[in-house]
Amino acid sequence: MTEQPDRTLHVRRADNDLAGFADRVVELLLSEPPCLVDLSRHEAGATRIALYVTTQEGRDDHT
Amino acid sequence: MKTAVFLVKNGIGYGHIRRALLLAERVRAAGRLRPVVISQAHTLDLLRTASVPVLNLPLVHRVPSAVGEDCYLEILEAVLARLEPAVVVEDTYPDVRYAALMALHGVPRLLVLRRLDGLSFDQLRARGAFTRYDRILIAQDDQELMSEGHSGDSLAAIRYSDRVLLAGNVYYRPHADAVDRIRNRLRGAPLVVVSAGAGGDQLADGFGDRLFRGCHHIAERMHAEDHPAQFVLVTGPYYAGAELPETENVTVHRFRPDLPALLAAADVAVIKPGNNVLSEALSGSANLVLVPDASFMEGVDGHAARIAELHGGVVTSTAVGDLEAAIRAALVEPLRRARPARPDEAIGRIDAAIHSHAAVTEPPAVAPRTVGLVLRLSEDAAADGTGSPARIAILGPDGAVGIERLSECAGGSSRSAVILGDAVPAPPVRPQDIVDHGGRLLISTGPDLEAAVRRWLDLEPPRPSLLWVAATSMRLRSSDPTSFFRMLVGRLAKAVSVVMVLDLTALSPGEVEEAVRRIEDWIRRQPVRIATPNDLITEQATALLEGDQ
Repeated sequence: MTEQPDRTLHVRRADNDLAGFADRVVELLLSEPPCLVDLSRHEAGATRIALYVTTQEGRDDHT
Repeated sequence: MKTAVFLVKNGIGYGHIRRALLLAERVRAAGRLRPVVISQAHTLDLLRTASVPVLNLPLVHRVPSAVGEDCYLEILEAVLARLEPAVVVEDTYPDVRYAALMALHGVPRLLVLRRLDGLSFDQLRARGAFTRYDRILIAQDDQELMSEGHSGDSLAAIRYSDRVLLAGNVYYRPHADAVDRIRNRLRGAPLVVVSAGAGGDQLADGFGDRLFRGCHHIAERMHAEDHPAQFVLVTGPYYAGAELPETENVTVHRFRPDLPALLAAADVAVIKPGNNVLSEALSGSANLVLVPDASFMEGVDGHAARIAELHGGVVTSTAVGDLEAAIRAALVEPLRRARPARPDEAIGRIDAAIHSHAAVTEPPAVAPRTVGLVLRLSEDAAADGTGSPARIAILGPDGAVGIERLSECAGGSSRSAVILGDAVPAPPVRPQDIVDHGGRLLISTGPDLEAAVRRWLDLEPPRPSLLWVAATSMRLRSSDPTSFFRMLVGRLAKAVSVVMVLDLTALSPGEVEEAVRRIEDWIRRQPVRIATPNDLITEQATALLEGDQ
């Protein structure tokens, strides 16, 4: 998993490093106040999965 | 705090997500479990309104590559492994990808099932889709269920299996303040709300385009006549029809978080009657204009007709002339007064089931094998404790209880839930009469129903079905039941549940008493439990639910 200049977390299956990504997702899910973690805006081929977080204040952070 | 995970997919409408959020929010309010909703949805509109944590994935079966699908499933596995849920709640469609998640194996799993049409329920049941759920919580009441046109087998599975609970409909009921605010803004103008849920044109059949464009035209014409009606078109995020300009009497929204309040405030609701939007519309006073379209397992056409009959309203098409006539008629009708049951109790029942399954901390125990034992007695030996003879009895924990023979059931006389199905020829009574008088289960005297009984059932199948179970028959010639023990042990070596019909008619009353005593003593010392009539009924109903028959 690498963080790119556009703040996208890149997960490559070949890296066999989904653990850090999953840790981050769970950390967000368990944080307060509750937030929406969105992984649905994938790119063609899905070698990049963007992680967006919407908080109750309505922010939409792309990490 | 333990976690309750809700797994949903957004198909055509908002119903799955709406139910999951309502239930998750109730669980969160109770403060004993931490709910996490995991969704697969293209639109985030409704999810953004959640007050519980949500992880949203794309519709995994639609990502453009198998590599992408694998990647998402690996992330999901890893997230679920970290969340370690105490209970999992799925909504409506048993999903093969959710079923295969290793992180959820062995976790109590509940299915909240909104109404399905009869054929779809039969298909899911017959292919064993309900097998993996510890509890199926149907979001309907008994009256609604009976109106669906379910098969007798499905009704028997739902009514008699202890895995199923008819919880009642789950939907969002808006606060009266929100409804009043909308009505106040209208200053007395009649309100027509048009909604097709999230659906719009997702099915690519042009339904959304025809519905919303048609209503737009109708609004235009009414405005030209100085009709005071205001139209609000809520197209849904998947709408892909023609652009709909706002006019003096038309406002257009892709999504309204207060759609339930809008529908409750409406004078006329023009809707595609999916379960969610329909339930929200019914919670208000609007007269209904129901415009069915293709649906997934909902049988919307038939349901729309039943709703119109029950609650008033009209079922129509997207043809502009039909729509206009229906809307104009609905605007002059008095507002609808009948309301469906509030959803609070249904949500409470499901919440209780979620907490109950999450609270189990004791390791489960292997259930003992069971034996259902039917005794045939001679006239001399028979007595059921009331002084009347019972020539057929079923052994229970508190002794033998008389049951009836099918051949002796006259019209409406059946009093037993369990009946010995040994009738040749079949009895002069309809199977439905037996069911209506409490008959639930036939015990055959062999591995199959007798041909005459099978034909009797097939000619006029009852609803719910009359369940049946195969039995092994044998005859005792003395009070020594050793031969019975041998046969029973042999059967129990191959099956966890066995029903035996034991003929004791050759024995004297004293010998019957001795034989039964020895059988009861022996069973007490074995890893075997006597099955009650209710056990046998529940077992057969659950087998039907799991598609075993």
